[in-house]
Amino acid sequence: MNDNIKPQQDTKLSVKALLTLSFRNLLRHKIRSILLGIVIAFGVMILVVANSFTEGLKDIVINKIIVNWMGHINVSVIERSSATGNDKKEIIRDIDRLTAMVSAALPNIDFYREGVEVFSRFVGNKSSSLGIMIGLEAKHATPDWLNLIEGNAEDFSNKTYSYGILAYEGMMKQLNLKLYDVIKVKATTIYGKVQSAQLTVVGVMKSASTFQDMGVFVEMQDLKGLIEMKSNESGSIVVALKGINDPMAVVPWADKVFAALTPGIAGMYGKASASGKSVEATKLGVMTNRDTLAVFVSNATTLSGDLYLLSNTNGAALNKLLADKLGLRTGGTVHFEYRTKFGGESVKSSYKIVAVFDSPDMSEKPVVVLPNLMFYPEYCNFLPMEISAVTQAYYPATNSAIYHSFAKEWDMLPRTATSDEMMKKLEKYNKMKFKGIKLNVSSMYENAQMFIEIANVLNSVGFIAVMILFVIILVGVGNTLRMIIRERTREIGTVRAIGMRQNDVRRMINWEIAILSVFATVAGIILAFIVVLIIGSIPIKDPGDFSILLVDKKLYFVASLNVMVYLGILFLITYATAFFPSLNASLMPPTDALRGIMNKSNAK
Amino acid sequence: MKRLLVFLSIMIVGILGGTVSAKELPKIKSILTTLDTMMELKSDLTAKVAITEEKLNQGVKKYDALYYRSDSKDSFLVVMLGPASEKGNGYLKIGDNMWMYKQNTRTFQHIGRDESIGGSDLKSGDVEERKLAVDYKAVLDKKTGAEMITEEKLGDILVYKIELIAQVSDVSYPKKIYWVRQDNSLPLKEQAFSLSGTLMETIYYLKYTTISGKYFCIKMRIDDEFEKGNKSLVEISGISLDKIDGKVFTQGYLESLSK
Repeated sequence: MNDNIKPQQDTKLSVKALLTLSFRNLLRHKIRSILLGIVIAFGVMILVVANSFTEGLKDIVINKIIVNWMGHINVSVIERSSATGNDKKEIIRDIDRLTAMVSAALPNIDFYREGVEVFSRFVGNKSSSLGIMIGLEAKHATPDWLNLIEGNAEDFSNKTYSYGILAYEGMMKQLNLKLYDVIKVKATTIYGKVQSAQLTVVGVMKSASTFQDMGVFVEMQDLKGLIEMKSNESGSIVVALKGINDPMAVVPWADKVFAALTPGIAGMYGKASASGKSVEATKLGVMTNRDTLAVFVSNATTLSGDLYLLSNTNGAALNKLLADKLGLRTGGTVHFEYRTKFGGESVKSSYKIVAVFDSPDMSEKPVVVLPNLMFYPEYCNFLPMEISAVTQAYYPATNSAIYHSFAKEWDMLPRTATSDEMMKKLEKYNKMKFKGIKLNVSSMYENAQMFIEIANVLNSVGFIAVMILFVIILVGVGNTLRMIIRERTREIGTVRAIGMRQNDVRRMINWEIAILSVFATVAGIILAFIVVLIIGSIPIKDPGDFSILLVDKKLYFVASLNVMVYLGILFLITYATAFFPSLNASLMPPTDALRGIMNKSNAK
Repeated sequence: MKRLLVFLSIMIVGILGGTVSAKELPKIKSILTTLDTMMELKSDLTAKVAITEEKLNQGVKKYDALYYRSDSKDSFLVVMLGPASEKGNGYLKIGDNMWMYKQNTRTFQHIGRDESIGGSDLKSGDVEERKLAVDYKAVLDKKTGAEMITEEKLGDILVYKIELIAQVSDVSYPKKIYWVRQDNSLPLKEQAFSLSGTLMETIYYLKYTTISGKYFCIKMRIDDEFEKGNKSLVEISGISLDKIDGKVFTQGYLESLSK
């Protein structure tokens, strides 16, 4: 030892001196140090690669599949409005109004889009495939977003071709197509009719996964036209938020959207007429389930007829003001005409009058009341201007007893916390025979809880597997350390004999392990990046069902700061593994150590 | 599966009640009403159905099923006998409810009228009893306003070719053309068109038999005009009009077949 590392009586060695000694000892046993370092680096490499892989899977599932597909928040509708049984539709009738309500509740919207998707059968060149036609607004069809390999995004936007579409390379291959080929498509309209069309491929996009390959983008208005959807209608609202990494963080925002989508009372403002007389009036629907109708009846005075007949007849009730103005009584017929909100189409209906009533809440403006089963089919299929926006229309006071008796613009389905609850809820309302509109707000958490949980489980399983492997490695490392210390017994005796304190011996050995671990960890991380680069650049030719978990047909890795926590844990384990052998070594009496005797006595 | 259920919904045709003058073309509405009347089944029905599906690049698939139907109970049951992957599965309709039974999991799944059957593009509502006279009306000539009905020959058989257009919004095909025999109104050929007017499929009613005064189509071919080369041959046998025990139209019966 030189002067600057000479131990001083009753003073512990400085960190600098310990570092110097530790480095020197490591360098003195180069092969042994390198081999031990390689073992630790190997473990670190596996940990980093496995963690990056599972984080990559999670990223694919959450950000590339779920968010692209359903957004962070999804607003959808179940509507039953037809006079026939086959009447369930998933359709939003006034997309702009709902979108405005959603936007007002969310200050952190990244983007939103209309969700219009239709399962379809495509026929190409002697080949066919199932796929999904997805509505894409021309303004969103930008080259950077589309990732075009061939073709021109402008051909999609400027409608050079009738039904110009953008398809992914996988679909092109499946259908034996090339750019500007024409394919046939068969789909079902929202009313259940078979539809067919010829589409021209104006752009080929690079796909990130097989999941994407199924999608074919059709200009939004073209697609709506094909499936008998009007421009003011849509399938759902898909909202992506800014800065969301944790699916659970979306839940409070979905709750805000839910609260913001409070419905008003549905109704039509138009002209009621009979026997040559006409008067501006409001037409409302009354809910005819027993309890709700009872509330309405108890808050009205029946002047003629029977208000309870609304529950089982196709008749209407008039308030006294309207009946008097038109000179109508029970048994007569009232005609009602209004114009739709979109297109201004005239809608005419006639109803037999089953009751005339008076009510303090409804005495000032003429009103026609229909049972909800009659009201909703017309309301949904011929959407009127909302009566809350028409000052002349009757609109019940929100604090009046009868407010909740009237048919609402929509009903909010209760929020659900899990995928399971949501599935049960949707199953229930899909089975339910009702007439009206049920609006559902869901977050990505419940939309895809199962996928998220699978991703989390994958993460945990990966981590546990790597930890088990690492523990096995560390058992070897610990054993190696014990042997190293045994080999160095005489050396330890010598340094103890010339005055090095027990603690300094222990600290010196610990420093050796710490230095080795740090270097091995850094080497492991570098090695991991190299491995990830190599593995991530090898395309997998036939991945089968796992293709959905690949990006560009390659394994996908994402670096995560989580790995630093794991590395910290590993460092502690390594340190703990070395701690006891080093403690034992430091406790050896110098005389025993000089004679090469280990574990004879731990006496000071 | 789709072919099976489509066929099952149209296979029964009764004997024509009246005849029409050879010189005067009948009103299309009356032909449709006659067809609707003929399709009504007063008694129960049991039959065995075999379908041979030929699809481009996919080879040939054969399906066998037992079909029980009782209009008086507003019920039907389809029990799949083959292929092996489908054996034991079934579709049960009682009133407004319809269930799909999966033999391997022994579970019933409630399916709505608007839900897909067996993963096909067939909706369960498509197999409901529908009235042609309610769903469709005659196409009128744009110039003359006359109904689009003409006399033609299919082979040696004199037929009326009638063109129909949907008058309700929830039918699968907005336009159809039928070729029906002039002598007994049996449909011999049918073409179905998509909303855009493209011919999607052609159905040939190849062979009829009579049982208890009712005509039954026992062989038909469905050509997929959208995906040329795909076709299905449907053959029916073992027709019985005997009353079916009510227990057949129960979930328990379908389950018991799997034991």
